[in-house]
Amino acid sequence: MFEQFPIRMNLRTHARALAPLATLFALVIFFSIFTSGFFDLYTLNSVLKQASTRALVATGLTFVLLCCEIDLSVALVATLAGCQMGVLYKWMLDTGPAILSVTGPDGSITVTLVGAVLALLLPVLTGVLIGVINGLLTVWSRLPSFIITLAMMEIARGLASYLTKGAQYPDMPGVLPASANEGILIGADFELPYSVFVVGTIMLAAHFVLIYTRFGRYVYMTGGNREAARLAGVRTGFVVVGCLAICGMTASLGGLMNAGWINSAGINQNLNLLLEAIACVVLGGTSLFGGEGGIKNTLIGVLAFTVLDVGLGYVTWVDEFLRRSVMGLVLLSALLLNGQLAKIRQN
Amino acid sequence: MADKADRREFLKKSVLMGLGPLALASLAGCGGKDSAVAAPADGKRRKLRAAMGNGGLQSTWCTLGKTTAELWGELLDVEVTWFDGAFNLEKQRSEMERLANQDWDFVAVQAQQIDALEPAVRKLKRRNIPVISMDTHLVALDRMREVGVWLQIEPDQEYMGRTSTKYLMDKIGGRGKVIHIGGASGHSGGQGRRAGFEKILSEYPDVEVVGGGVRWCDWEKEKARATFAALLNQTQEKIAGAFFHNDDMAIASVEALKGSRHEGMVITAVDGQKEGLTAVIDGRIHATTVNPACLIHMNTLVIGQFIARNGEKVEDLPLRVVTPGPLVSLETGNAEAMLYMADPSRCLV
Repeated sequence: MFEQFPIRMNLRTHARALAPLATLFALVIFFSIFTSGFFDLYTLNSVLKQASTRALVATGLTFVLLCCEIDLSVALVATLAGCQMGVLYKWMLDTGPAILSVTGPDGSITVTLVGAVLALLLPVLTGVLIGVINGLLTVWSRLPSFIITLAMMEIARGLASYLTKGAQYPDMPGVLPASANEGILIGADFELPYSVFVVGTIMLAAHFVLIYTRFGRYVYMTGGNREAARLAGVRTGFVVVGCLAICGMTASLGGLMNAGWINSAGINQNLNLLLEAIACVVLGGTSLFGGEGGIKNTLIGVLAFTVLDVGLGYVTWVDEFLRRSVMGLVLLSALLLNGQLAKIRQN
Repeated sequence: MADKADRREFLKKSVLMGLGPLALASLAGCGGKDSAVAAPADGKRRKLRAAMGNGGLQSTWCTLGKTTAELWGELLDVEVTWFDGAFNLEKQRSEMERLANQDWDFVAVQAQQIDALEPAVRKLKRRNIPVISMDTHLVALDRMREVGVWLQIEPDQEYMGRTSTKYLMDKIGGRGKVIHIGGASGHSGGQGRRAGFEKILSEYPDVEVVGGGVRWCDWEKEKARATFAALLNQTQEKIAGAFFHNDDMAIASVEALKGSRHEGMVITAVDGQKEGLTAVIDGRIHATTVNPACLIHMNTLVIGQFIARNGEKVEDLPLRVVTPGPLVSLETGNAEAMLYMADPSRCLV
């Protein structure tokens, strides 16, 4: 009996961390048993591809939630990034200077490497800038980031509409559709998407920053108890600005990845991305109230959410009109389970 | 062989003229061992499996498409598995990825955006599964066959815009102010209808568009109503008429006219399904051009099952089939007939 006690304590301590993992496994097992065709390598490839954009956006959002803020502009910042890239690339193809585009012997115009890098870099810098503005306004005005980023969401929407005038932009640097749609063939049946490497690198870097740097520790301190952190000498305002800037950057990267996946950029993309990204972070176990969670949790949350999304497509016994409700119900159950396990841990 | 070729030619023409059901009925009566719809010698026809999906079931047009596919699927012995685009590009792409790994006799989809589904369609092509594109082009027409799209079935968006606008111009005597409420600027339907409107408008120099041009409302009724009300307030002069890109937006907006100085203005729209046709009959709107949701989905099923059952080759098919839709007003006298045809229990137009 005494030997079992530490195990029970350990389970309690890790209950919140284990719940998302349990959810992920439960979903995989459920769909494997109750649907036909779900459990194979092709589905794994689909899940990994579709998780990429969510993972990128959710990574930045994790920083923001950890410091007890929220960024409602992520989806529209992502859309703006895609639109900016598309418009910029089209401009380079049409009228760009020689350093950005060259005309081949057959009259075809191609964008140079410099042009392609610029088309990818400028939207990301715009995302960072938007994040910095979000952060500065939040800190300076002392208004909730909820309000500031809500307004920024509309500004980003307007800018994207203005840039595109409602048109679609199918031309983009080849690396985007390639990384989002292609991969390395492993064996005869499985293709490991290139996007996994991009997302993996970003998430690994984010994990490193949160766990092994002073800034990361300050993020947790700011989210856990902002006043205590401030009294301990942490420049909490700087931390908030930093987190929102990171969030802006990853949102832009997510927008570019999604444009590659969809093969074009336009205003009608990323419609559900905000709620999906928040759901992924929270499903992973990161607290909405700050100070608890991390990138590992977000990774599990993204995978669980995407498995749910993809898996529900294989379910044939649910009425099409009810499908979204079922998704909401499963999500709600998983979140409630997380909440209960968190309570157990606190008790 | 000649007999088969003749029937095929007849079918193509019939479909091109929007007479899919008649062709189907005629072929059913023809008999013969290679007849597309006749049962084989053992008396049992193989039930086909098709995956179909369109933009999003939030829209009346798309819901009617689903109803049509299910109704006609049953009649044609095609088990239709529906996938909803939910007006979400990413979701539709995700669904297509899933479908690309399953076995189908054919797949039909209304893409929400050109090129967005291309990688999934290429996978279907590698697996020799025919893909039919409905309404919005899946990829540019000249690339369709290379990507794996066998056929494009679509309405003529510009024609619908032109027809409703011409009626509007004739009714207002070719002069005065008009309002132009658009769908979504990035949608091929919105772009085509706008082009049709502007083409006719250019023939009427005495007609002025209030607000300077089209006001995009993203197919949202609330947005259309608010925009329409704001435009009504912009001028003291009586506004002669308005053209809406769909019936839903028009019906939601006409309420704003009640008690205003613009009451009685001529309202025209596009879609011509049950709600729009009823609105024409009871006088809430003056005319609508049919955007044949049922015909598009039904023709898709009919052609899809011909491909599967007859083993038709991609080169046997026309690349593009345009399904026509008539103008419906009290003057044309076809409102009641169209209402009968558009009823969801029949799904004929």
